[in-house]
Amino acid sequence: MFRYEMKKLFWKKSLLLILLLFTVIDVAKVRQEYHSTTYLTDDRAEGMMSWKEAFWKLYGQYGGRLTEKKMNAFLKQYQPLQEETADMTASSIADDPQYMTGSAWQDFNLMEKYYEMPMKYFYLYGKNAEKAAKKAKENISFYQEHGNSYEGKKNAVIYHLYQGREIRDFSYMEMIHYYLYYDFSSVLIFLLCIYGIVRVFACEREAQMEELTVVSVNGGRRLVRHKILAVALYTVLISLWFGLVDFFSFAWFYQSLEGMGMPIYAVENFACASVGCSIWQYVMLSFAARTLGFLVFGMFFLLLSECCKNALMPFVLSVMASIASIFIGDYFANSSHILCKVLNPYFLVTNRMLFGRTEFVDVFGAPVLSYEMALAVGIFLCLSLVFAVALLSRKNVMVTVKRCVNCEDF
Amino acid sequence: MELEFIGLTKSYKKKMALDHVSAVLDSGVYGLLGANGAGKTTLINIFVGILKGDSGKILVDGEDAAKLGKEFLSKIGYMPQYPVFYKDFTVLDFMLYMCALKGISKREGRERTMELLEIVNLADAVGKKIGALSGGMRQRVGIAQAMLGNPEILILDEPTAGLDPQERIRFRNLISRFSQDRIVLLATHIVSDVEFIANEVLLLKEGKLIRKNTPEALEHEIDGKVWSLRLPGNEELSDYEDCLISNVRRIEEGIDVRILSEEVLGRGAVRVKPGLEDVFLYYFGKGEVV
Repeated sequence: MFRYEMKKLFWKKSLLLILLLFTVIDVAKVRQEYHSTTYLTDDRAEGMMSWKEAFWKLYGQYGGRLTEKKMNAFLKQYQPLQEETADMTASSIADDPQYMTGSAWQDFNLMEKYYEMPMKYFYLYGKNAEKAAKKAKENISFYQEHGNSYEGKKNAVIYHLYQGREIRDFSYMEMIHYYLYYDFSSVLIFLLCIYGIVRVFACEREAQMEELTVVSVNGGRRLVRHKILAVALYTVLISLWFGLVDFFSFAWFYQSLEGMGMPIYAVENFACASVGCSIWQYVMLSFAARTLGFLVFGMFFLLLSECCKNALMPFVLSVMASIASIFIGDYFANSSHILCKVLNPYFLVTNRMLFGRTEFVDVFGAPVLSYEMALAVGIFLCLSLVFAVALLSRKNVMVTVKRCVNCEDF
Repeated sequence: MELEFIGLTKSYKKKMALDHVSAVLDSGVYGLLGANGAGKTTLINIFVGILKGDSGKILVDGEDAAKLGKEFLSKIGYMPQYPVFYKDFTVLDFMLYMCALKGISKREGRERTMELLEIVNLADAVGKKIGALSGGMRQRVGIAQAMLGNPEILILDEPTAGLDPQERIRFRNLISRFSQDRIVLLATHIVSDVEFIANEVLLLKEGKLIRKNTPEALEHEIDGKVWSLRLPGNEELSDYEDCLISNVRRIEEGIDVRILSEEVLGRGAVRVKPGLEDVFLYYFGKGEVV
């Protein structure tokens, strides 16, 4: 029966066409993202190296473990360029073969953007994290002295999170940075979820199948259970598909998978990350959170499908609810109203706001990290919606009545 | 198999959709006849468990259907009014899906599906999408799926609505074929659907069961009340406007009229044998609930 429910969801020409079209659009969007963000292009002056070539040549020298020797070697190469361009009189014409790219300016810019700045961030991160951990430790004693146990506990969590954080390796992070900030595919997933899910119950009604299924032995709770499972799997598969398309498209266009083993705080905007895992692990965690977010939305769309007579109404309501959730999410994205973040499943979808910051929610005096709370709320919402769908689904009176002991009339 | 309705009642706000309907049904075809809104679908919906009745009981071989639960559902084959089904499914897929819903194993389901599709003359359409079937073919898929679990009770709600005469006859024959050793409850407002195949007819009017008898007995009840007469023109027809006119046929010499009347009509009127259509008109035309 589950197979048929999946077939009903997936085996539609229109859906497969939309999926194909959206995949092409997504890949095109990643390509556009690549061209509009990276400086590592193949453009070059005659006889000179392109930025891309120059970068990877230097990467052979400076990539990997950050050692004193490597840093000194880098500074030896970088500082003369810095001095040469400091008075702004260096030629910008790319015709000098002593420079990799043909001009001091270009070499300097390349090394500053792709080496000096990230290297500095990596090098200083350990020290800054140590400072934060030290401050947190001081705060623990301070708040304990003043009887503020909540702040004390909060600082204890911060201390454990930041203590021992350091970035030992230098890695190319550009692809990862833009990959982690890429949200376009979420819109496509939203649309596909709405398109696929709002029809689940509404179309049964439109096809007069609801009456037929409700009269069948397995047409009651069991069928609803299969429908819920099918919707869940549909959502997971769509989310997984675009997760893979995004990842491999970024990897393809940036032609790199470097840095996946680095800690997540190696990405500058994740300096205050509330998780201390590697980027690989974060990608998985982010996928799981995003999928949970879509599951909440998916179950909500399913509930609307259950409650409305035709497919148009739940479609309109689903679109409106999604837009509202996105707008509210954007409004509160940078605010300190943490509850507004953890209660809105949109933040699970674009979860870097949850994982990228160390924020807490006060749960009966216990500091809970915002991402933990958002995941718990997401699971609760998802289960509640599943329960509501199961509760509101049409059942056969005869079967329901049998459960009611001593029921004379029905 | 014996089926018994005891005092089935259902009301929607102030309207009484079903008013203490009681009846006993044995094996055979039962035509549930009534005008639109008479309560046929309500009765069927309560019977199959789609709708909750206000009061009353259904007994299957003396056992309360409500207490039988899923066992009761396995005894029923149901074909709803105006089925559309899944347009993207092939006939075979749809039948196999219905097998899964009815708890029939895959292997057994496939065998039974092919057997039924052969009977309903759709063996060639196995791979066709339901969306590509004609109305009649779709209705035949409908009855085939209803017969999947070899049910003891077959419920058909307006199964011939929208079919052309040829398909209607074909469908009628199918119902007859499937009626052996089972109860077939056929709800319709098309008299000819039940005239030839029903063992008994249940007449529902405004939620009440007003008659339950064989077609012959029902016809016999209005013996002597059906008249045929020939009139020279339309003007004379107005003399009978208080009577129930069951048929008017224009011929060269004037018009042939078939009239239902309790009173003896004037000169030229001849008593004729009533048909089930006359019975329908007699009870649902201007007549009061008996």
